[in-house]
Amino acid sequence: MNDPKTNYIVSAAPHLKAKDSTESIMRNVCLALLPAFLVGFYVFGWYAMLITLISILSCLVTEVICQKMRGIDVTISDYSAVVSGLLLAAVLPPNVSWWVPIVGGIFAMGVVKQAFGGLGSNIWNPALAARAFLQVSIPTQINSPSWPMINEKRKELLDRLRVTMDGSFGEYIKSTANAVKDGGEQAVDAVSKATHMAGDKLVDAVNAGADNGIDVISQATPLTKLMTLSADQAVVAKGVTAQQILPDYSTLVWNSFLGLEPGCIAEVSALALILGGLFLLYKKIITWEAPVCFILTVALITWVLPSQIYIPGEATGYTEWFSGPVLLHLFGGGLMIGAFFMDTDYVTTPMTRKGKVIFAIGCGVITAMIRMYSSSYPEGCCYSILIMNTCVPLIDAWTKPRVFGTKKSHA
Amino acid sequence: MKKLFQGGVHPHDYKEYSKDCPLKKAEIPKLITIPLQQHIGAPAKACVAVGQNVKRGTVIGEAGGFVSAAVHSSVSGVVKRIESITHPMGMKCQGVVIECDGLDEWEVGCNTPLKENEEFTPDEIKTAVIWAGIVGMGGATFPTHVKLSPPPEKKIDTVILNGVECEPFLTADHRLMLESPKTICIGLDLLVKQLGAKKAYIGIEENKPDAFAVIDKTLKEMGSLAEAKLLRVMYPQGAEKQLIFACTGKEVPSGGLPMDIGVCVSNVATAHAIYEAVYLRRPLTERVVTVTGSGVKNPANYIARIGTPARVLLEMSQFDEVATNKLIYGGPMMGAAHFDLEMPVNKGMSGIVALTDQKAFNYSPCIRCSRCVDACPMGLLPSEFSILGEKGMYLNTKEYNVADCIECGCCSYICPSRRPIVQWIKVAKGELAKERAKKQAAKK
Amino acid sequence: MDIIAIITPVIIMAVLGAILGLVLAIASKKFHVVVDPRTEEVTEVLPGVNCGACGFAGCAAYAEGIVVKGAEINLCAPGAAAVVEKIANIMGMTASATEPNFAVVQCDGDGVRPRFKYSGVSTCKAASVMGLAGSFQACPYGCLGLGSCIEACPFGAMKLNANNVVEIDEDLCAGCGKCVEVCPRNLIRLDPESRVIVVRCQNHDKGAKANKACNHACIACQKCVKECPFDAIHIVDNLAVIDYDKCKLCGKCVNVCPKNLIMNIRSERKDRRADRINRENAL
Repeated sequence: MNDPKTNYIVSAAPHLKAKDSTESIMRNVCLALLPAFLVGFYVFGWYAMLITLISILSCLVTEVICQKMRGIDVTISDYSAVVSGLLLAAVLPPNVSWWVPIVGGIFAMGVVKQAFGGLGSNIWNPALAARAFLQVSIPTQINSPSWPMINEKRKELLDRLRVTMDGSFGEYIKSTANAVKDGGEQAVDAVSKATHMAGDKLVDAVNAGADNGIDVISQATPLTKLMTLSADQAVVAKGVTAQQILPDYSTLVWNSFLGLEPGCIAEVSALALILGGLFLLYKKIITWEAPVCFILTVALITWVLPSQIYIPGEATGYTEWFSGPVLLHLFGGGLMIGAFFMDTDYVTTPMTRKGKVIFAIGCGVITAMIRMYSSSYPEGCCYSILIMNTCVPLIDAWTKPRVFGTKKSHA
Repeated sequence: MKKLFQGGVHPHDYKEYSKDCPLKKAEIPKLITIPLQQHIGAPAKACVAVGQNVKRGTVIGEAGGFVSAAVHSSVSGVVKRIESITHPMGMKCQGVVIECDGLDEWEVGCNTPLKENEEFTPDEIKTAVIWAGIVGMGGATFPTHVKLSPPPEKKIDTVILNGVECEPFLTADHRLMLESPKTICIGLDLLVKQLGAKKAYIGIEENKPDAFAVIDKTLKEMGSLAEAKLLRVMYPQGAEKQLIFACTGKEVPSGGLPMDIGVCVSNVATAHAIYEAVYLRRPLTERVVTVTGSGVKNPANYIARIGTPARVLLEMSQFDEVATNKLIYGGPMMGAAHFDLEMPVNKGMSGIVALTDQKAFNYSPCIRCSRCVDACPMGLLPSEFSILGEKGMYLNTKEYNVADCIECGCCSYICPSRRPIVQWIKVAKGELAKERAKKQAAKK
Repeated sequence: MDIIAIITPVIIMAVLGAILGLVLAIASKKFHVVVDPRTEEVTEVLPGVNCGACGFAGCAAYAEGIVVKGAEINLCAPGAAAVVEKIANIMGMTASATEPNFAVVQCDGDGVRPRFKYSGVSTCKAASVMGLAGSFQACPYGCLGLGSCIEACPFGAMKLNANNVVEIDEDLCAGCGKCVEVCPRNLIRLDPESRVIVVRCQNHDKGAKANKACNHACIACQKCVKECPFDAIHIVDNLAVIDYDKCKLCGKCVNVCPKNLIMNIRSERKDRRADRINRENAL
């Protein structure tokens, strides 16, 4: 039969469709992540690239296996597994063992996504849940301010570096002890001197390393620095600001912003992440509510509230009000990737604009609380978003939009 | 500052195909099929016999109740048969097949123009509307005389004419406003007079500045109390509730009718029909139909007799039967897709759109992107309807106010997963209606 | 490590356990609900598929219905005669098994030509909403072939055949009627086993139109009407309809139907019935 009408498509109205599809959105998210990854690869080298590739592959393979097992169509062509793989790699340190992204990918896709019903049905952000899973399972790989030990040569060099650092550390303990005797202000001076010295030595070491053919050295993330410093110097920290404790504060902020401070693979450069986020905003893939509210909340809380400082064997102390190291909190650590890529994830965040605001403020509060008042985690983004993911159905139920033609009620 | 309703989408309007094509009389085919259900409500009852001679304007179907409308023969000829046909909107109804004799004579008492300055009482206007079988010609086909009979406690103070034509592709109302502004404005005055309204607007979107200028000028020349309103372009502005909000800032209460807030909305084509019914004594036997889309070579705006098969209009526009793979009766956002070229033009069909290279989409799971929530002009959560519908939990959609949905299609349009949300909503509404009927039956 | 440190928690847990156990024991005695042991027995006997054909929420509910509310014991469609007998034994009643029912699809579909590509929700219900083309396939009355009944069938007794029409495997069909409820075109009917003459068409269009739509459509040719010796078959609204009160299942109409849409499924049923009885006996 050659009736042309057999080609006619019959479907329910509407017959026009917007151009954006799930695939194009996911592709654009990958594109938006690209600058951050490029900076990460540049800073951390080929091993970070390998980790990223393993992570993506692991997610894709797990997705395929799970969908085959569930007896449904394989949908890896929608790029959602690629996005999850990228986001997982983005929040992994660059020097984890090669099997870590494999385990993470299997957990992210198999347990967090497919076990809950696949795309659209997962409660938690797969990448972040996998990171949390890895963090509690193998904290030494994820948490420790570790050094990349890729080959013997580098290891040797790093050992030398550590010795140098130790030396300066001893000096600095000594000066701190003196400072306690001499009083606060002098202590601050001493600390700044010591840190300057350490910093200078570090720069020297890095230069030396570069001379020896090594591109990069990973060390504590800026937020860990903030935390450890405040712990060690707590005795003098009463009545001072974090900026004073961290004399190279502005350098630190600049470095975190540009991507010269250590961190997770794609977290290093706040600038690249902001560019990616702006691209998503421009493409109307995300709305402004979540990132803006998240960032503003963190900024506000970290600026206003005094940070807790731990004095070994003694009571806790606090820094001054209205003096927090806001910029370091914004650019160091995972806030930018959290704000632009994690709390704008479609599936695990609220549907309504109002809900998004509540969600993002919740994320911001929890992030700031963990960062400022937890003794074991310098970074709070991951857990804050996971906790708020859990609340999404509740937020959605609370923030049902007002139906046209109904009087304003509790909404 | 122009008011705009919440949500909405902005598809490309594709009006460039046909907006510059002047109205053209369509051929009158040999055989026409006039459905007896061309309106919301009870179907009209056939009142002619097979073999009977009819003329243009002869009543062939009497209104089947208050919410119903009379159906007239649109040609002169002989009734060949009365059979069950499929209505363009998909339901089955009776249809009268008439063989034309080519004389095209008017029935006695029809087409007897009156003087322009004749005065009418509200009752006379209403009687004429009922006589002419006028229904809402924007697509909803709600019998107009019902709108003109509000209960006494509901005073209508505002009449709004809908010249928005927010559906992409369609230019029928646009052309009518350009070429016949006077009849529309007189029709509006008749409505205002009949309802005793204090205010009147004609809402026109910014993408039709020429129509706005013409209507504005005509209204001013006539010294009418009506005002032409230029509205921002946004789909679905032509939906009654959205249009009222855009013109007056008032919200029709959920589950209510425009008359609840003292507003009556009519299409410009309806106003034109009212003018013809009152001043020219012509029942509703023809309407403007836009034939457009990539599947026709010569897009055009036809004045077609009710009952003309779509094939006649499509062939006049040099329709490419092979390249076309989607044929839509009505606008592409709310119209029905068909494969049958013989569907008759009815009172609510403002366009026939033939599209080429359309894809049959497979939908994928909802990714909760919330675009539909942002796009919904009614403040609903379309994603919930689609998720519940997918699971077959249609009755649960009631909690999410599915009854407020106007089926404008914004959610399905914007959905990146290509989910046919409106289809689920339609099923859900049907299921809920069945459930209600069941409950009522149980009560009895 | 101090031995006390181990013993103390052990003792505490033991005491706690004993107290809680006592509370539970008292509660179970005090709030004991007398359950007719027969309810349990009947539940055991029922097939346990919870199809709901009996009108109760499930097998357990039906068992309770029989024992407590005195419901009829022959309502279980999947269980058929065997189950009724067992229930009758438990309840001390005489068995009065009803004839088993089978679902019958009243569309043969042969020659139903799909006319277009459908894109959208693939359930029959969704495909028959307003605004979609009224005739999903060429025939506006026939099986849509999207398989909502297949999904609804708790016994896996339905499948699509080569004509894209649903077919019922009577070996598996228990006559629960779930498919009858879901079919938006009302094509499925529950027939008692003995009703072996079936009109497999629901097309109410006039002959010419119906013929155009489907090779197996009733064209209201009146042959069967004339042939029937018992005045049991009539054309109602352009469709042959059998009045089963008058029909003696002689099968004469089957032979004259030019479209082969009146079918005699007696022989198939006979074989199946023998099969089933054999299997039941083997069990």
